[in-house]
Amino acid sequence: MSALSRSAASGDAVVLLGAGGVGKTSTSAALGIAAAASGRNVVVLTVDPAKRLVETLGLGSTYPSEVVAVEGLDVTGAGSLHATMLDPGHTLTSLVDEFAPSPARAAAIHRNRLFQSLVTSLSGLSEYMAAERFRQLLADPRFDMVIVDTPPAQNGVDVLDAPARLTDLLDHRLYRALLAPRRGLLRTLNAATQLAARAIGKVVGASLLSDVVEFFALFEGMDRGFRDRAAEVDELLASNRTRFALVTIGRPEPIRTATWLSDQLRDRGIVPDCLVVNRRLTPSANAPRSAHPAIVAAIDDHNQLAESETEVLNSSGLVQGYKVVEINESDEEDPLAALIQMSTQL
Amino acid sequence: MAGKGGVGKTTVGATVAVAAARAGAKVQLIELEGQSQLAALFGAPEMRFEPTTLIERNDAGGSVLGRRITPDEALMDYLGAHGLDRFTDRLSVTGIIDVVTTAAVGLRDLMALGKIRQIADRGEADLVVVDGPAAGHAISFLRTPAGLARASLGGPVHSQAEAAMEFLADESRCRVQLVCVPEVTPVTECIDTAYALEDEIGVALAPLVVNQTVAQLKGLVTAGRATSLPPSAEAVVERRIASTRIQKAQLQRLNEGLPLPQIHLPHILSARLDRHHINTLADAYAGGFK
Repeated sequence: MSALSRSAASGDAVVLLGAGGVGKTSTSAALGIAAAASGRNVVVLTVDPAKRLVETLGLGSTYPSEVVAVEGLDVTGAGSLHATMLDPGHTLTSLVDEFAPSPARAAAIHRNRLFQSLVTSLSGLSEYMAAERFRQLLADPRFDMVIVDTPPAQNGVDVLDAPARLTDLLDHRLYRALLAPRRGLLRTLNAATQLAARAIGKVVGASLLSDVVEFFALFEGMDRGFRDRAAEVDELLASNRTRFALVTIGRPEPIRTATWLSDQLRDRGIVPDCLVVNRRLTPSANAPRSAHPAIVAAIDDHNQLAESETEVLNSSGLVQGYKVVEINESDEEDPLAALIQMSTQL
Repeated sequence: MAGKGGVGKTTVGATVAVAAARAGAKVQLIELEGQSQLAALFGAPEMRFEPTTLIERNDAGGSVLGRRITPDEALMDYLGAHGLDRFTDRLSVTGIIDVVTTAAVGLRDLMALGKIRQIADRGEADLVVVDGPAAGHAISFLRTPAGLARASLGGPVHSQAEAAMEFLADESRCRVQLVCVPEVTPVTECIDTAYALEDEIGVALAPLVVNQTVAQLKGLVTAGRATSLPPSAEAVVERRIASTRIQKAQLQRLNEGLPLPQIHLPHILSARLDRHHINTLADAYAGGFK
């Protein structure tokens, strides 16, 4: 059993973080297969999966936020494997409907132009919604294991920070000041802030600023719900139930990103259980001297790259500091077969 | 530059900058996120908002300046240029901006695009190469102006959004160069992204860069069959045969699926790329235009 599988066995959730293009989604799916084979009821939450993987997992033809069973696997043993894709707009809308004091207020929020731009835009929102969706899945009685495939790099850490950022925003004096006319807190807005607000209004347009005011005014009274929810997600992420793993390949850039992520996590009191190194090339035996030049060239090319990769990994402080799970580059062309092969190395 | 994570988008961006500088162009190479390896490729210190020299002016009159323009920095730059730097109460200003940009998602991205447009339009560079956000995010990044223009917020934001849309749609000023590798998933995503960029954003596409193409080894298939090899060596030979076959099929798919000229860059047999490798790639890149 690899350090990654041990990590999964000791918790209720595994969050995988790493740079783009290192195979995070595949690793998540393979870990899902391995955990299901050991009897867990697993759901894999993917944030931005490649189309081919979406099809492999059977997510293609369904509504993104739905949870679907992954078919075509004979290795699931006593457990089960489901997958779901994050739909940030849908998750936010469901949150608003849950916390709005009345259907009329919910409808007014849905009509607000900024809210509409929020639900249709991917950037910024998806991280908070990934955290919320994670909480929903962890509470879902159908599952006892949640695997989270985070967005690449920086955005992965944003998933952890999003709940707290929202709380900070709700606590911000300007936010309170924007609601001041209703709450009689006008005095909290000092002269300098008033001036700055006016100047910013000039630059970004007064109508944008008034939309912002309307936006936050509509949320009045709902902040309690959002705040409690944010605290709950924060607690889940900090608890022992949630395990973390870093994913990389043997290249300097993703290793640098993983090092940065490692530092960010440790700053938040989180120590990842292991470092997964994907697509590892293993050096091959040399070709016999009499071999055809094409064979010699193929083996030389491979060994040159494999050695260079080993040098990059060995010179990295990150690799020294973690239990390393190496996954060999797959020779399966069928994506599902490749995932199963990957899962056997976990 | 746009492409899925791991296809070498940053490397190819550096390659384009080097090739253009050799041809005599004053280039600005821009990273949008702070995590790229761009500066390291040139052996330069980490990039900042202010331009730093990556390649000194050469005999042809070309040079490469590097800078990092994060959306946050671009927004502060814009607000500064509009008189907000007079405010001494930085905390209030930053606080209000936080609130505004939290609600008006995309405002920061729009400002980054605006800054890039400004560099191009003011003639600060002959060519601006932007190491864009990864695939999916590239589309949402470039879609921002249309989204904000549609929200009809009025005022300066609206005119910024319209100017950005105009810039993106003008193929004499702006093109997206897609980068992919000759494997199934990256090619599928590349074709989808190409159509999404043209249809949804209306931006013109530059020649497609196919990175990490492996050289075909003549006689490998026959020799592989005839030679008895240790298992690890046999696996390597089989993989090379498979990747050559996959590459051929995927190049064929690209030919049929995308009516774009292609530039093929060789697979560099090193995990750690440096300036020397970029020069090799720049040779191939320039050769691809002949």
